[in-house]
Amino acid sequence: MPRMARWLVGLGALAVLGVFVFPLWRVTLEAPQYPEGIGMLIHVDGVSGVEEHDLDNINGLNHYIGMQRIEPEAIPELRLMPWIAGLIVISGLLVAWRGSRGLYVGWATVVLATLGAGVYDFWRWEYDYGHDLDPAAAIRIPGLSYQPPLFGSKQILNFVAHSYPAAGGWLLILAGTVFGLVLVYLLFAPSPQIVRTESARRATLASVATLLIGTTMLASCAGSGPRLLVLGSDECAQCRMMITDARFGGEVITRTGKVQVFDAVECLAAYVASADPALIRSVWVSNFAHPGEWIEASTARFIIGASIGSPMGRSLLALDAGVPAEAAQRRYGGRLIGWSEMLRAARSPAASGAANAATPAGY
Amino acid sequence: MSRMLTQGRAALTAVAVASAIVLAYACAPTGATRPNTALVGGDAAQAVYVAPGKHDEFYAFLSGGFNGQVGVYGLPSGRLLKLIPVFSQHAENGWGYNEETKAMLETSYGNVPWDDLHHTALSQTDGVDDGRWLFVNANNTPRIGRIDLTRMETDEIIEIPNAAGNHASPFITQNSEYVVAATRFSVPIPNRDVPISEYKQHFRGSISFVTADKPGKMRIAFQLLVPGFNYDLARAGKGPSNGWMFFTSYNSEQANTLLEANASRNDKDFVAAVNWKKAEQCVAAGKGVTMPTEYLHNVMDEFTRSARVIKETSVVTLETAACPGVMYFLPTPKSPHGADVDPTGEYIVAGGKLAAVIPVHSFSKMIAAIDKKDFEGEVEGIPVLRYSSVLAGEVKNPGLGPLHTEFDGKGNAYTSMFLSSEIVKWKLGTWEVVDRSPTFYSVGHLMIPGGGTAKPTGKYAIAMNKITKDRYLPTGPELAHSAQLYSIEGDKMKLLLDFPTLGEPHYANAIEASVIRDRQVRFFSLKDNRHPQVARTERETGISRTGKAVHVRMASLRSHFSPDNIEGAQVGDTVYFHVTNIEQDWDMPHGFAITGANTSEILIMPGETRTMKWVPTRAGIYPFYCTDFCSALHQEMQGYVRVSEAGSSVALRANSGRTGQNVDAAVAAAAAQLPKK
Repeated sequence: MPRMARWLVGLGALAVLGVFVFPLWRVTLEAPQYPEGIGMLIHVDGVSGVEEHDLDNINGLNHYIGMQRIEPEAIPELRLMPWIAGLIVISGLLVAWRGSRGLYVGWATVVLATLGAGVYDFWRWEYDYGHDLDPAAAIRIPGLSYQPPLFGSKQILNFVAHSYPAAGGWLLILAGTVFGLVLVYLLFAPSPQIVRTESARRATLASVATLLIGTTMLASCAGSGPRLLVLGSDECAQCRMMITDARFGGEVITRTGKVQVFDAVECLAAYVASADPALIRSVWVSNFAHPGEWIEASTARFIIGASIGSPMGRSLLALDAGVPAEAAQRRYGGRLIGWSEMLRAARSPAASGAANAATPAGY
Repeated sequence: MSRMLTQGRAALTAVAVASAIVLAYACAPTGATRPNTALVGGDAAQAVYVAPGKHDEFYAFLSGGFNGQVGVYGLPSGRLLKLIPVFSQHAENGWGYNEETKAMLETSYGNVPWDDLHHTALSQTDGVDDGRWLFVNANNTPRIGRIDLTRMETDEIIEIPNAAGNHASPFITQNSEYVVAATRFSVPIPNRDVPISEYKQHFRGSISFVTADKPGKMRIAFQLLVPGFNYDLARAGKGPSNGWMFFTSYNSEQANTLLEANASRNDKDFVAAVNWKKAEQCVAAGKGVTMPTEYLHNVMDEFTRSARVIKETSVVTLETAACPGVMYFLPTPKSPHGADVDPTGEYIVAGGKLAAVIPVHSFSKMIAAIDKKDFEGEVEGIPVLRYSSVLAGEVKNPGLGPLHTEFDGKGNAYTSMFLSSEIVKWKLGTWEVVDRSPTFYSVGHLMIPGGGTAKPTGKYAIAMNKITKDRYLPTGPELAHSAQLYSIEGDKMKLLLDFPTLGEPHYANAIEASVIRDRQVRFFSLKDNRHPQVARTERETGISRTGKAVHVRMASLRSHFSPDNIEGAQVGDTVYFHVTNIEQDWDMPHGFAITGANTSEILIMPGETRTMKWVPTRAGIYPFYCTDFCSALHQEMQGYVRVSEAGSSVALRANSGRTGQNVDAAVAAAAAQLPKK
């Protein structure tokens, strides 16, 4: 490794020490009632309020929408992360000291993948908090998720949530960038001094493979799944009505990755029943009990003739298969059916006729 | 005796003044007879406009007079920011009603729910307001209160024994060593049953020095027993005159009836100069006499936020004769009100409300006269200095009815003129009047932020007017008092603003906002709450019975009470609701009120515990609710108490939350056990 690269890597590793001093991320909330702001800081080993009681106050506010309490003790990663960071620092210094190119390539690949996984994990927690809501909450807005952004600002009810790296996060980003640039330089810069040994080639191959796999994994997590319904804007692909209630919605993801949205299971079933199965990659229904959460249609359980009216009139709603049948029926009434029965019903002319008959005038 | 004035001259002066009063009232404005927007310049609006969301430059603390409270206003906008209850019950937040604060109004006469709060004094360091505390006096049942300025709450009230009409109070020394309490009404000391006509024989004045710089530990250091005059106002010396306190006195005639005539005969009364450092020495040397008496000292505990009453049984008194040099009289025309010391500490300005001049005494001349024993007589053994020997100068033709003077720190003095209803600006040293500006109407005190200290700000003056008449939309016979704000930055005073005030401000202090703004407490720390019935979390709530007393330990937070269903109370019980607001967020108070309570609501700041005592008299169901709109679900913040007949077998219980297993929750619980997608 060139001398300069070794220095950079060593300094980068030292920069990671900053996470023990500074918070990684800062999520702040602004609302008319909180002109002074209220926020929390995510540290390598915990979560704290920007001001002493902010975390409690955020939890207090969140109880209205049924968000789980943010309890740092309940997040196991916070116990793991200091060790990982420490390991990165020590191993980084060793790698820089040894100066072995092959060793570095392998090390950097693992470190970058770890950082990527960390960001993904953070997003995953945000998704969880934003979607896994207590159905008994006082404020329930069907289809609205309260997930704060990973990076940026977002309006959530009366709050604007800002989420940006804090000093520790920036140091980590800086270190990651340095590691990445050195890695790219070592892999691709024409360098006569470097003798490409067999082991270096193997390491390169392994790291490229890891990166590819990692990227693919991340990509598959992030994309090609069902998306959130945009209430008041999305239009049902079947009946062309505006979608206003996410509890009953559905989505079809086509082979090409296009997402078709539906306002009700009736419409979704009608669309799927008449479509070429080869063009459909996956079918999703909204979890009635957790609006915003998607269930693969084939694994969902449906209630037909429920005590709650659905947009297309058949009182159809979808629930997670894990919900005990008796509990669901006691709560919602009606009859429990599966997806295949649903499709059969949609294909039968009687059913569609019935659905049409129950459609509001003007359809 | 010093009061050796020819009766003829006195009579003439009296006639002149009386005519002036008659004239002043005869010409009193009746609305359109006088241009009552005089002097308001085109830029006045801009000078007082504080844009929405912006803050004022000064906090002003205006005494509330007969409302017994202190009003906090912003200057220059004149906006009312807060009412701080001190000596009067305040149903709005439960002050003096709830179990924690009731005791603050205890006196040796029992619980006194009202008083007349006249004057304010900010704590000082080196003669400059430091913004730690605000001291206030109760005129009717003599007391001094201390308000903590980080919370703007009354923390301490000490009763003054051997006193009546605590008017010359609570003026403060330059390092907050003492606040004073001097009697407006002389009474027998110790008080006893005597014929009123034997005033001269039995009635005496007292001047108490109360230690001020130890919060929670105010103490009457000593009480100087003085001639039976009426002691009116005071101001401490500063700089060279530090160690002295100057009091005005009137009724040197010692009249006990129809004082308006009988106490206005002498054409000079006195400024009493008290050497308090000398008094300290005399007391330390054992010259004081410990007199048995009874008075209360009420202190708010920082951690339980409950008042504690300490009963005191004696006070150290000091006869002036036992401590030569402790007090001198400076002859001063006539029935003086204010005794105001200029920023340098050299001049003592007396506002002789019936005088034709404003006399200004010189401290250095006073000391010289004392050294030369340049006395023109004595009163009860107290030397009376020669007027001409102590006089620095007289402001001639200042106007009518000079009351009180403040300073701008630029060599000017501003004196309020009650009768001619104006503020008169004059120069220290040359004693010439340089400007005058009308007030609407009949100004009492005036106030310049820092105007009584060594460092006045010299930017604004406010006039606290006694008569309002047509200044605002009329509101029936009872009108708000009115204050007026003037700019005093230029050569000429400029009237900027009228603003109505609560009660009757007799005096005020103001201080730059920056000095105390950032020290404001936003809420109380729940973990420091040591109230015996605190519930720091919902889990710590509960209910218990001791005989006929039922204690409900309750928590309030957005948007529920815990517990909110209470059963087992019986007719004949006394129910105590100990409500802790377990929020730890700024501006998130919760209130509590229940049907039929014979007391006020309680208003509970985040982190504190307040207790309402409730005695149900009929069986039934009684709702309670949050009275302070706290959140979107404030209207849902309620509960019920079930009251059964005496001897009923209904068990005592308190609960909150879901009463049965909710299916929604069951569904959610089942869903939560599933592996995540």
